[in-house]
Amino acid sequence: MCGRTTAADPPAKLKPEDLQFFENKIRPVLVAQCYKCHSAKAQQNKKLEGKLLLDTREGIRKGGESGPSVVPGKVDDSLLIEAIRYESVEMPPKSKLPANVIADFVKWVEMGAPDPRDGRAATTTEEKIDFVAARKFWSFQPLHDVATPKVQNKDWGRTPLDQFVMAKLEPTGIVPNNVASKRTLIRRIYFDLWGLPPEPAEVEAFVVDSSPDAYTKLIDRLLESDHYGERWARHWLDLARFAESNGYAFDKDRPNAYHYRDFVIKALNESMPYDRFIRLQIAGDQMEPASYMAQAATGFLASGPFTSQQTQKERERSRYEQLDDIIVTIGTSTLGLTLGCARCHAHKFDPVSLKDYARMTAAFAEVGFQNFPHDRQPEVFRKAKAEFDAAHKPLTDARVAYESEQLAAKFAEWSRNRPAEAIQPKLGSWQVAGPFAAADFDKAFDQAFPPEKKVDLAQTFSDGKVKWTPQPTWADGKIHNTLTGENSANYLFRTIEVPTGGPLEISLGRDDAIKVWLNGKVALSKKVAGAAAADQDKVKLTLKAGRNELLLKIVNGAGPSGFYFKALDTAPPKNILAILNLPEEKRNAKQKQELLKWFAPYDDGWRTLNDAEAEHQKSYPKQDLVQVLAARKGGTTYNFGADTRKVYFLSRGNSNVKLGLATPGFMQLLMLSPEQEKRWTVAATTDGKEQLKPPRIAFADWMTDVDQGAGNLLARVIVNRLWQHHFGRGIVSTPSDFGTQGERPTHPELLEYLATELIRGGWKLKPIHKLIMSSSVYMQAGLSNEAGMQADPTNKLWWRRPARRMEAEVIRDSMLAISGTLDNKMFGPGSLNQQDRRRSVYLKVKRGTLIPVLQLFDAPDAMQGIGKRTITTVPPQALAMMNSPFVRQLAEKFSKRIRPNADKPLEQTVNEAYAIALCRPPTANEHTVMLTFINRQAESYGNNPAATDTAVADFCQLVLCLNEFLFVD
Amino acid sequence: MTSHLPNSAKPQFNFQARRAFLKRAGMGCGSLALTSLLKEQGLLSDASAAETDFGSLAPKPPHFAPKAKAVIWLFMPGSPSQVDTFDYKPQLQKRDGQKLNGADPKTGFFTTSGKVLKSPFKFQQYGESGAWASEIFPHMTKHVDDMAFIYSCYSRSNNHTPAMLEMNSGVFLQGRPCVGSWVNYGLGSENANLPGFVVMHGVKPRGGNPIWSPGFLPKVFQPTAIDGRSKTPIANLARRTAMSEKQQRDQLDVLKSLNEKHQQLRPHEADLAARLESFELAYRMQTAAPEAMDIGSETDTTQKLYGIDKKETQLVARQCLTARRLVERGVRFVQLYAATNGGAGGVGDVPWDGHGDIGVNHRIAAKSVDQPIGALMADLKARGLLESTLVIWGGEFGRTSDSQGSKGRDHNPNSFTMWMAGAGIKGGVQYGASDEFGYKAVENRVGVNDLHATILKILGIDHERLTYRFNGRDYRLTDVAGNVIPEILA
Repeated sequence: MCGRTTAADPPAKLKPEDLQFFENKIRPVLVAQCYKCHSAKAQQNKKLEGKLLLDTREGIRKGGESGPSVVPGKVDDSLLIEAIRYESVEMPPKSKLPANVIADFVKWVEMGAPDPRDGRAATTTEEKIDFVAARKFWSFQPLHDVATPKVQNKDWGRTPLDQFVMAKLEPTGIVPNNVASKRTLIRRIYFDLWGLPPEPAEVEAFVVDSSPDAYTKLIDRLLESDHYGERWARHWLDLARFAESNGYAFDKDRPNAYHYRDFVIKALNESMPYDRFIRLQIAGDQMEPASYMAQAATGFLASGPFTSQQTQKERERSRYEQLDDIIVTIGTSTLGLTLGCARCHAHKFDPVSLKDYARMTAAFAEVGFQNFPHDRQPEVFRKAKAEFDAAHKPLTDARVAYESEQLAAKFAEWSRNRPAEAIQPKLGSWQVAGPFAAADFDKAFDQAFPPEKKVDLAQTFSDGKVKWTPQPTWADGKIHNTLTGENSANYLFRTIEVPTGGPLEISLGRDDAIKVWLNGKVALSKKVAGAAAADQDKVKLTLKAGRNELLLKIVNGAGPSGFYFKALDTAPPKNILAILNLPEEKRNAKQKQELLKWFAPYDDGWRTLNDAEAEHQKSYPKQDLVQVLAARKGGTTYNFGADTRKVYFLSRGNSNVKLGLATPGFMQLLMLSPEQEKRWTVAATTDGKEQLKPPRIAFADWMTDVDQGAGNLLARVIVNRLWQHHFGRGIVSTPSDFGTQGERPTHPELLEYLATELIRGGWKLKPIHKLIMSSSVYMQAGLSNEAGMQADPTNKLWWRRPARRMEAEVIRDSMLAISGTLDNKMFGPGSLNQQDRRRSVYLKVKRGTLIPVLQLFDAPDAMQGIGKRTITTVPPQALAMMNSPFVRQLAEKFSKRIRPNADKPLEQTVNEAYAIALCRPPTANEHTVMLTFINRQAESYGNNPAATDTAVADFCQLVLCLNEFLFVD
Repeated sequence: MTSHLPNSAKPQFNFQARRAFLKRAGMGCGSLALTSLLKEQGLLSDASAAETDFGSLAPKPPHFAPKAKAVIWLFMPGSPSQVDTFDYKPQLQKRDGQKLNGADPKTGFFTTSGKVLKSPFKFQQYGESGAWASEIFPHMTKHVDDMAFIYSCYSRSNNHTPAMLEMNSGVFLQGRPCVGSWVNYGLGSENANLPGFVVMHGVKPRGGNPIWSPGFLPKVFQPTAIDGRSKTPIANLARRTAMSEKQQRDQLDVLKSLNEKHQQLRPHEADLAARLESFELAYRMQTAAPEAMDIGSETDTTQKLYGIDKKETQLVARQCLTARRLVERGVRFVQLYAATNGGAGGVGDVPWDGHGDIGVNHRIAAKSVDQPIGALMADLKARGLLESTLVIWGGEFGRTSDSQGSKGRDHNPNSFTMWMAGAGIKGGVQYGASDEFGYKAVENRVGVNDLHATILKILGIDHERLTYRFNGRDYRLTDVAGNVIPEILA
């Protein structure tokens, strides 16, 4: 259609009847139903939706972010019509317009959408973010060099960290606590670093060790233990929403997901630099594809929920949800940024644009998940493989030599005698003899019964009970399940006559095992079990001219027995026939090769050599493989066709409204490089052509780039997390939100100092732990005083050390340890049973079936990353401590540990319980109270030895219920 | 608080003790006006209000005067068909077997025929309000004048689990808090000896526990899930049989005295006091919870009214009667997943899922819920509890107006009916409409966010102000949407 109406058409051209139609039928509806969200006024009121203005002619034609709203004359191209028909987006959202009104709009568009409304559509470009200004926010700046502040009190501090703390305390006049008692300290650092209580002997050794470095030696020892990784991995697994099942309706298990948990534990224990720790989790499968650690690390990306039951309509939406989960998890866990907010609109508070969000998501567009086979003993395999190769080579050599030296001649001989037409072999009737019984199946298979040595149809066996019987009615191409006998063999015999020698392929079935001989030579031997079916084995035979003898041995274990037989066409396949029909001199080298390849299996000489080789191949060494759930380019995900591995810019996060393909990129805020993302995406430029890195590797490079990328923020966020877990609260108290909505650091310079130290030390975490734990602020006592409570009631300035309740896993692990039943086995698949004796980090995380005792004490549900657990105190926790069989059993084991027999005095029993559970002796009063309790309970239970046992268990359970046990000073 | 209980059944609830518990626990940032309550008592400075970050079940003042104190949500897993229950469409009868214009055969989980399927049931009008209903609800329909019907509901997933997640949390993803958790977070519980949020189920609905997850809210707001078929429905409630009440009391007395000594040395550790108190609450729960659940103490007449004596109704009857006892004792939110015996074609976890034969399936499913729900309505009313209890009925989506196979209906998120009754609801209202085949909601459409906004409003909560900060974002039950439906409010 020419003369298509455009937005610039002056309204003067409108015919009066068109104008009337618009004014009567269209405008009132637009005003009443649409302007609230789609007009200049809506824009003023910040109510504009979809950047769509319907209050001017220009606006309605230009459309919003989804494209032109009205295309004059083209009903099908007009999104407005689609929307009011409720075909895609449903507008107006509250109620569908009446059918006659919709008809009016259709008519109006068909008329060319006459529209008298003037006025320019206001430009609605994407909100521009001023990145230069945005980068001035404290957490987005490069790391500052900070000098340790000068303080008056020179005695309190032990480390530079203490000076930062003291500098804030001094103006307030609050005096921080001195160092806590040794018993308090050792308990504190054990729970902090290991999540387990110290053994009484370790406590006593530390208490009496007066050497100046007793404390630092202890820290070093704890940091070097594998328990450190087990404890601290859990903090990271919270952030990684780590789980071993899909979630949703069927919550399918991920049996190979535990490798990610093992990776985190191992990485922490081996003090893997944190930047590498992150890089591997983003792109390990591409950076170091052969490495177990690198593959397992990408379990980070794979940990999110996945719904296996999907309707077709849900798949694309689910894929965007999956990618959102990945980006959101990366954002909160590593950079402390709420990137998910930019999915539907530019982030309201932080400088993250819709475009940034989509481009970061696009960096993961190709990612899917798959099991990576990892060889746990590559050396063993390498050695076995070398041995195999050495033994295998002569066999291969012999066959190859035969192929080059003799096969061509054999073929030529056959070719000379080849009949012009396909031969129809003459198959004699089957003769059957059996059953021949043996002691067991194996023996029946192995033993050579008389027919195997020589077929004489007149011969009888087993005193004449068994003899050769003709079966003229047995048709070929059918399954015959008529054989009898258990752990027995039946022999089947027939002749095959051909005028000239040549190939014949036969197809067989068997129940159970089978051996085949042609003219006394073994052609097939298979010891298997199962029902007979057509075409289970195909065997290529070379017939000699004249009479050939075919013998089958069918060996049955139990139940029915039978076989299947069919002679296939003797004519060579079409492609071979075509070559054979060429004169020999016209066959090229490739064709000759093809002929030999086809012919070889029919040649006895070749087959003997080949069988030997194949037989030896069976001894090929097995790798000790374990499957690791890992990320993989093109791996499994929701599949919805061509767009599966693409990411589009979307309107308000709606995958039904696409606004163009997104290419991988990063946050503009954290790209200080003048060449922007190219600094990280381009691997090399050759001949003016840019070679791009795999997008995830580029992403990892950007994240860890301290000079121009996100590296500084990455460092700030992780040192804050270390501080948080040592103190109960971060320097930034919103550990996963370093944006403008998050809390500001209480000690910004201290944070800068720690982040700088981390990078300076090669991103190693253990030295930062040690630095923090060596400080006076960490080592101080918990005492409070009125002055401090007045000036700083919430302890923002760290003048005291508050008591902290143990986390769920620590509670469970400690009870296991104290009861003497903890199993220290590391790694591997975990259990779903809370009574399992291994540490809680090895319990399986199944989204639909969380471990009850862990859930009760606030363990996360693994649906989204969590940086700070809520700590709740509720009666069901108390009920579990009082009444659950799990706690009771541990209390009983604890009582057996401290009082293995009735000879042990109760006085001593009480002392040991205190030493084991609380790291101290009881006070005189406590001792009396507890003894009285035990005696009274024993009396009430009947005052006999069993009653005393029960009473001691009651006492042990009581100790487990003490606040002092569950809280760490 | 006014109690509907006879004096003897009053919960063992000591206001002073709870106040003290609260005081020492220093509870709950973000929890609505709780912080202002504490500040008013001089218990909390502004700074510490922002600092503490664990939640509390202590009662909290609402945003405005509530109409309802409690909610009973009768969830019909698998989803009843709107056009075979309450959304009467004569066109279906007239055009049976004809092509359904605009039908999308991929609307549901499978593929539908595109041909209109009439309802196998007879419809008639009930009550003064003249609400239409099919013959399968002879008991429930006695109460139509107390109900507000919403005929124009829609949701966003055509798959059970995501749709149930949406119906409960507003989002079709796992990991978001469900409405019961939000309500308890916002208002707390009225009975410290009982859980504030109870879920009752038989076979768990598809999706299992995550359907009623507290998401990122503190675990204190997670429901106590009760399996109606289990003998010990609440975990760890029963003392070990070998231990007497006195022996346990003695043990707890020693614990208390030692914990108190420990705490005296740490006067500013609020968590210690809270935990000390929690053992006392737990001890009382051991008595209060079994008492609340003891439907055997109800009269024969009451038990029969609910249908406990009949095989086909006993499961839901027990659930409904327990629900009444719980709200009577101050439980804030009861969500009941109607545990039918599974209709034909519907399986245990989605009993209303009539893919194969809607007539056979719905007759069985309706039979198991109709009398118990009718009785619940009557009983609540007789006891005056309907004045303070909001009752909600519905599934996770609707069903197609065209057939699946010859007699079944597939899932349809584009149109379904729910009803609400009781506190805050204008009875006899018929709100919204679907198209003439009941295939799509077209007039005054109501999304799940709108339902939630309305429910919160009735409970005295402004859905835009009930927020929780998680991972740097202030979340709402209604996300960024939701409009209260004033037309159905009393």
